[in-house]
Amino acid sequence: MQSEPGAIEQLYRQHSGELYSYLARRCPDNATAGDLLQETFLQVVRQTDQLPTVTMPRAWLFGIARHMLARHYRRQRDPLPVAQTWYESAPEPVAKDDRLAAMREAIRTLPAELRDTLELRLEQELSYEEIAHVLDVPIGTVRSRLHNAVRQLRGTMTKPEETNS
Amino acid sequence: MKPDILERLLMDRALGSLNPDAEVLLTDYLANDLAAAMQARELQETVQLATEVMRNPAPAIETPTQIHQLVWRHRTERVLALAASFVIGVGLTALLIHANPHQENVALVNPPPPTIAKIQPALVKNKIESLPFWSNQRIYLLASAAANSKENVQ
Repeated sequence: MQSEPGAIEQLYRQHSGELYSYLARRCPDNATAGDLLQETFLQVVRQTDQLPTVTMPRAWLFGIARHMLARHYRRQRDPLPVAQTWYESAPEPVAKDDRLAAMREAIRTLPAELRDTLELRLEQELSYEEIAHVLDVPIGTVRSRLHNAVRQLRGTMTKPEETNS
Repeated sequence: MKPDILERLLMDRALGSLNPDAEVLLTDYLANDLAAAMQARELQETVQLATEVMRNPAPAIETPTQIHQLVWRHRTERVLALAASFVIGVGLTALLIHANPHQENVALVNPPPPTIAKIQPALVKNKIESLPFWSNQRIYLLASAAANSKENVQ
């Protein structure tokens, strides 16, 4: 069996990149994302006794990272929903394409819980089961949120075409 | 196929979460249902576009801290916590030690009453009789004997 520091180091090597990416998209600057990544793994070090019982390490790590992010924004008392920060600061090439810009706007206007769930699926490619673990909701709720999100996005995206025709 | 079941299958397919067997069956079904195939394409496009938006921009990956530094940080925190507990413990003990001598001083200022009368009443009686009538020691021993007899009665 692998020693605890070894196991944590392996988790860090495998997942720190995607966790950093997830955090960086939701933080105003890279330094904050780095700090939150550090806090996430510090939490992992504190919970080493739980490591043998973790069945979905990726989902477990994302759950901790998400918790750290929420705590950070609570402390900052930032009224902005977390996901808005990176959608609004997206670079110019994305905004040049009308459809991408429209989709960006459509995603931004989704209810937070639908957007969070969709992000975990499309951006991080977590499975339904992993998302259920991260968000601590039943898998049926994850499926229904994802379907609702896609339905709403499709509705928003097809509206202009319908009005044009 | 019922429209709501079809929609659910198409959604899961677009989201990349349909199991391979169901996907094969659904593809066969879509080949014979143009409206459903169109719906499938629209959903697929929506999800692809959303994915493109969500994955851009990809932030530059930085690895800010090595894991062994975190382990050391955690260990340092624990050592500091232990040190703090030790200091608090020593402080409390020192406070208690400083408090006790004060009580001892009080005890010295108010010594306990003599118990000679309690221990040897016959010797005390002899001693009282041998002392001069107005001597302080006789008066003191008489008072002690009286107090002692009162306690015995109670």
